[in-house]
Amino acid sequence: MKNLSYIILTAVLLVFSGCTADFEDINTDKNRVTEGSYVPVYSLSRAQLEYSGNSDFSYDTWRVNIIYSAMMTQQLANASWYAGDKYIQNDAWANATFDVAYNDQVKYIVDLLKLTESDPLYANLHQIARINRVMIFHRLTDLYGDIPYFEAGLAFHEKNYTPKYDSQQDIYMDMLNELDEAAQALDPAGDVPGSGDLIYGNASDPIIQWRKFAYSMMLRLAMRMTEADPGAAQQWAERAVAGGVFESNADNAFINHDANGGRVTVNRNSNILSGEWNATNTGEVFLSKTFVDYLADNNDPRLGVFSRVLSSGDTDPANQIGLPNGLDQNGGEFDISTDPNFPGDITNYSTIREDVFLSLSGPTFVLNYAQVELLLAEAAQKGYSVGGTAAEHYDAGVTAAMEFLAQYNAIATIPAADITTYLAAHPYDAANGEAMIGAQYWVASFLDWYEVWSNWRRTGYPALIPVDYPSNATGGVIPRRMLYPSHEASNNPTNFAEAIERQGPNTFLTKVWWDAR
Amino acid sequence: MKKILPFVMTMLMSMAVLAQSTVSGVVKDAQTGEPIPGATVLVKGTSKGTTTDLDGNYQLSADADAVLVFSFIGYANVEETVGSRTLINVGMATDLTELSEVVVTALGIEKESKTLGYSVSRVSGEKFTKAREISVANNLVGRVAGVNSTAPATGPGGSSRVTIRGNSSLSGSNQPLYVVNGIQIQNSNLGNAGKWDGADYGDAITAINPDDIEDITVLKGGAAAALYGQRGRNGVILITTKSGKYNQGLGIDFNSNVAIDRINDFRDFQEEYGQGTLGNAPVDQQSALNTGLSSWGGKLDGSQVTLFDGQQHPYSAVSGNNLDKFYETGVTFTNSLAISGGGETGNVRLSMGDVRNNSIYPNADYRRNTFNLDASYKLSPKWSASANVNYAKDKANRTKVNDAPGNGNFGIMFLPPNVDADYLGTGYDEMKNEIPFGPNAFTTNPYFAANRFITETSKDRVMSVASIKYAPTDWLYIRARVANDFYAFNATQITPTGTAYRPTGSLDVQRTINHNETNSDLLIGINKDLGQDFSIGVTLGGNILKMQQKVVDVNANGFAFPFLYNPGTAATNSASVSEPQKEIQSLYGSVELGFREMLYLNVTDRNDWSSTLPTGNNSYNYPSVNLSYVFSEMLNLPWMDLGKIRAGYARVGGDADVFSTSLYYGTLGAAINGQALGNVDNNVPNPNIEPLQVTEIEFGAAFQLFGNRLFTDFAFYNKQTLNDIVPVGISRASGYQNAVVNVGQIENKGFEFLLGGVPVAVGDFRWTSTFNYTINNNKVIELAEGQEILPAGESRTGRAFVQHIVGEPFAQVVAYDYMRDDAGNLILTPTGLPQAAAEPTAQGTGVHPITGGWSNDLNYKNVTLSFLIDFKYGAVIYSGTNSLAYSNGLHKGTLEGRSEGIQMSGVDVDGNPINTTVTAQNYYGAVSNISMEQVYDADFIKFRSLSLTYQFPKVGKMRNLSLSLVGRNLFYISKATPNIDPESNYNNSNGFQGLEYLGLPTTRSFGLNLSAKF
Repeated sequence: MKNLSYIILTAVLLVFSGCTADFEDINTDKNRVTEGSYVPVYSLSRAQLEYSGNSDFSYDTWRVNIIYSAMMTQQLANASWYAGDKYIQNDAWANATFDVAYNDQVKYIVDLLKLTESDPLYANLHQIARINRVMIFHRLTDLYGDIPYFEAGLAFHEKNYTPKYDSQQDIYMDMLNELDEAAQALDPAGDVPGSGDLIYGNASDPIIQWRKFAYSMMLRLAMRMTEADPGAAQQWAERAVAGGVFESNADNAFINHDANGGRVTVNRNSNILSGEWNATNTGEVFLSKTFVDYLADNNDPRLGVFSRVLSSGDTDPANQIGLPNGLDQNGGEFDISTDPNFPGDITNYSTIREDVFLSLSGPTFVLNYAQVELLLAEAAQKGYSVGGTAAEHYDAGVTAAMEFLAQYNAIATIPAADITTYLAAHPYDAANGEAMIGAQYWVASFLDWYEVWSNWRRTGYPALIPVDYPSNATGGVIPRRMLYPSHEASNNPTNFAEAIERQGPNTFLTKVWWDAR
Repeated sequence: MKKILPFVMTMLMSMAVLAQSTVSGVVKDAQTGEPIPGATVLVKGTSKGTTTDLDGNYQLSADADAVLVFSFIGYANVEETVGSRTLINVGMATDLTELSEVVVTALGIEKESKTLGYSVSRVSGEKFTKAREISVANNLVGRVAGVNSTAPATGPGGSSRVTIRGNSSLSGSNQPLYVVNGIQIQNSNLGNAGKWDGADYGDAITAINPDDIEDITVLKGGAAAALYGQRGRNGVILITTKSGKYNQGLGIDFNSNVAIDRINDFRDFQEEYGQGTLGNAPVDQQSALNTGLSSWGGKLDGSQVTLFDGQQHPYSAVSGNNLDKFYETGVTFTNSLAISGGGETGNVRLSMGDVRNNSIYPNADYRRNTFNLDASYKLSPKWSASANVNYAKDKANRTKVNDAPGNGNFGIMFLPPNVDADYLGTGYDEMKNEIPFGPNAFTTNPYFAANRFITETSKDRVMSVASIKYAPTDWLYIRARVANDFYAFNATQITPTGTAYRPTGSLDVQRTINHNETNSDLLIGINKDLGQDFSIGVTLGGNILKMQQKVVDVNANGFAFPFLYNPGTAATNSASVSEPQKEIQSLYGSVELGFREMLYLNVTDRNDWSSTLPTGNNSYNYPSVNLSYVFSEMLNLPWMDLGKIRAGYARVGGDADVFSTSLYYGTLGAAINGQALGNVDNNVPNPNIEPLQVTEIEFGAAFQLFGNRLFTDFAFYNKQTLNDIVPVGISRASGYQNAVVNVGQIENKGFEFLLGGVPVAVGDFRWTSTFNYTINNNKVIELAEGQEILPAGESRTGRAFVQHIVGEPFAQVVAYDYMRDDAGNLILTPTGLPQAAAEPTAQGTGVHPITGGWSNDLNYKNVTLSFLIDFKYGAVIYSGTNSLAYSNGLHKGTLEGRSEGIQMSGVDVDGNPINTTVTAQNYYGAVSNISMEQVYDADFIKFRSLSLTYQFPKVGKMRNLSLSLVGRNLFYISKATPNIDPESNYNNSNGFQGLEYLGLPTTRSFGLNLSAKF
């Protein structure tokens, strides 16, 4: 009877009030939060971590950073299936960064911008988000050229399911502007993001660090335009210097990883090259002959820090042998045994020292002081007003590049005397300046092969000799860009077609805007 | 003498009231001879009458010129004139169409079927109890026009897929609502193998004990189900369980069934060449390990060859019995006991059921205990109450299916012809480490998979309902009811210590689900005759549905102690909790107008308010109208017992998934140096989502002719889905991958046909036969703007897909053809091999448009032979098993060209001719990727079930004793799929219809059924 009266009562209430007032509450997921209860900096942490490589088993790092960029730029080599070693086209791998970066980086950083837009409590976090957004799109556009930028990441906020592709020139101009505005808007007396900022969260003055980072990133962007728009390049490079760029390795931007969280938090490169996939120890990934020879020929004190013989673990610089790119193990005309320096077995080639570079909790560098100084050297060489001479910046850059390796591991400390000796043996030569700077930048960016490849495409230094392996996709030329994913053709057809129409076919050989040499 | 006098007096007095005499007798089923308890015996034209007792006996007094009308649900009425008889025994014939009978309709309202303007089918419970299946849903196959039942090849206690009148939603559920004694049951599947490995965790409907079922009524169309609102969108299956009867006395029913299952071995593999590669047999243990599942070796010659175990074995065809060796004989014992009783004011039935199954898959089993209590009580002449509680407890260890890791069905299928299953031993060594037999650690040794992997589920489910009814007058009643469906589900899936690909083991799934759904409803019913010609029935009601669920998932890996899978001792573990919930409020009503028992008009309306839809869009309305015209009432033809035409229209809707209207933030499972990492789904929420809509029109006719010797029923329907809620792929540059939008438009048009009758009834011999046939033409009309294809599922091979394609039927199996130039020449690779076209093309639907069955009962005295033959036509199936059989060199087709190679002619990409010879191994390796070659017609005709029953003569207190020989899924009369069963989908969800890959082999069953009633 109690039930009956309850039901009758409920039914009556239902009829007369239509009591659906608590529906919104019922349809609210209590195990997750909505905007009001969210901690915005978690989105910064996620975006930064994903920028260091995808949390799904280093998805983009493995494919674009290692398989393509590292092999194409001849720092690493592979004699089996790593397609970039031989310029073979694998669409899924060449799409990888586009595939994951928008979902796992852009979404979070764009949402963070919206969450912090007009909240004075997050005034600095908002500017930091703007700077990080540039960092993310910078890599994306360098890899693919024209990409969705202005309308990207807005499916939820603006119901834009099919963002249009913007020209790389427009993207660059806006990114530079964003860096400038954000750097100026940062308030050293304002809010600090805390340790959720994986890059500078634990610095004593994170806001000052982000300002330096913004101007250093501005310098990198500016110098990327030296061939496509020299005027703008000079203007922005000078503005960056005026704003204040990195001054020492203490300013370096990097993310420290954490082996405890498995694939989600480990160092991305390390988990593939060592760790879970262990590619350097299974005879898959070696140092390239081009890289080893460059260091050896110049008596570079870094060789023994970078390199070890796989079979013996020997780090003696005299015993390092790089694997030439473009070879296989199929017993034919491209077999590794055809290498004049073939050491009898593939395991006698050199590979990366895992104790230095491949710790699962080790850092991923985003931007370092050595790169800044080397870019300043190039700017000075080109006559830009960046203060100091090309030679001074070159020396500072090379020194920084040798010294900062200790930030990976103290065992990689290069003795100061060795650096002095090296610089004395290789004094800056203005006539050959840009080649020297380019080669040093190539070494200084080791592991950030995205950046290695971009700077090589722009400057042409170091002068790499391409391989010409059967069934390569480029006719024996080093690729100039990565490939858009085919799902864009089905899910965003109009804008995709318009981008290809403007930029050129979706191939390895179409050059991006700044690649105008 | 003193005793004689009263007797004579009585006699005389009886003579004095000459016309009134006492008539008695037994009412029995004409076919089975079983007594019919509870049958109504009425003196025609009066309200005087009685009901039969448990033994079918009745007694009443009647005039000599009186006509007695015997009636009972499910039987044709029998009329007998009393005359001078005092003993009238009646045999009642089953009324197979039940067209003039009372049927249960929506909300449990009983109606005369002739008044209905829509199609309803009824199947009596006994059809499920002899040649039985563990899940009732699987027993519907071939029985009812318009109903397509398919059982995935996942083993006992697996889930079912039932669709009525086709698939009407691209991504939502297409399965009907099950209503058990008024309790609405959420029949969602609890776990499936998707593209990768996994197991079928079963569904809800397996909680029903077939022995408890009185009957099943299928409400097929929108018009029939409109009163259930959005949940009835896909039709409704109403299950009524048995109950005690008033005045029946004590009754005991016992049923015992034993069935043995044997696998169907459909393999027809080559047995001429053995293990190896490039035409060579293994030369040592290492080369044997390198070619574990490759049958590209030399010609089998009986020589001694070293295999993976390091032992010498004859190089001869010995794999023929591998499946028989690996798979066991399955045994299922089912025992049910029910006690019922009833007096003047109340009745009770209590039953217990016990199912114990040992699966054919080693170490897999299924156990189910059910308890059902049903009680009704007349509190007073105006008040009555009833309650029903069904408790089901099940526990299973299940086989993994589909992909190779941990799936024993995989390795055993592809052992080369010279490898005997016995060589694999137990699959593990003395340290319990897996013994590898091939090069790929992810292809688990089948014995290791069966002996060491664990996939356990357990479920406790309580379905209960209590109702109270108040009938102040004979034309008005009010019924209040609370129904609750609760289950607690547990699943544990373990990759054991010692597994080759994960030596420290992992706890892959540790899931707990607590589900609770309550429906409270109030119903007011009015039934009145308005003068001679008109009658009116009005029903008004309201319902509140509250659903709450809690899902806790834990997984872990890297265990510190071997064989202990406690997440607390794991190097890494993660946990998540989700709590979906929803509420739906409803108001509904129906009005039925009758005119001279000839014309009936029924109008219904229901409004739902659902919490899952955004405020402002959360109310939706379902009207329906139907008309029935019983023209035989007017024609009055002696040979036509019934003739009617009917028409119905309905519009029903559906809501969205829970929590799909707002953006939610969570974190990734791991933190970096203590910092949480934000996480947002890749599906964009849509706060403007609208309910989907299905409109359906149906027309039909039914005839019952020549004293029920012949009957037929047919229906045409046209069902249109609008605004289907579909996740569409959007540009990833938008930050997300899918958006939920209202775009889908689907059409289902069909025809259902039923023909039945009694072709022969001579003396004691009677043959009853019914045939049903359905054709459902489905078409996807529209997806999002500019969208032609909606991907739905993908085979593990990556070579075939299920897609919904505009202009084609639902669930197209999409596969690769050969790459050809415009002139039709094969475009070959530089080495002369055929290659797959750039884009895969649609090969046909994975859902059979044509289904039907032919069911027969032949009865002679105490012996009844029943059998069912069913068929399905018009679908295709992609067989991943055959794809692998090509690449592994097991398929018989791979014999061609083994020694001499395959002569290829075609062109290269530039059009230059290529003529060359390639090896069979390379050629068939390429063919295995041309997936169109492994798409087969899934058409079949199957001898589905057989039972031979002997009815023992009645002895003493025993009301009934019968013994049956039964067989189920006996054999295919025709099929077109080599090496596999055409009914071997491994997943019951929308996106996997038409994909086959290494499920549990199907079985045929034989058994005995004993039924005793006291």
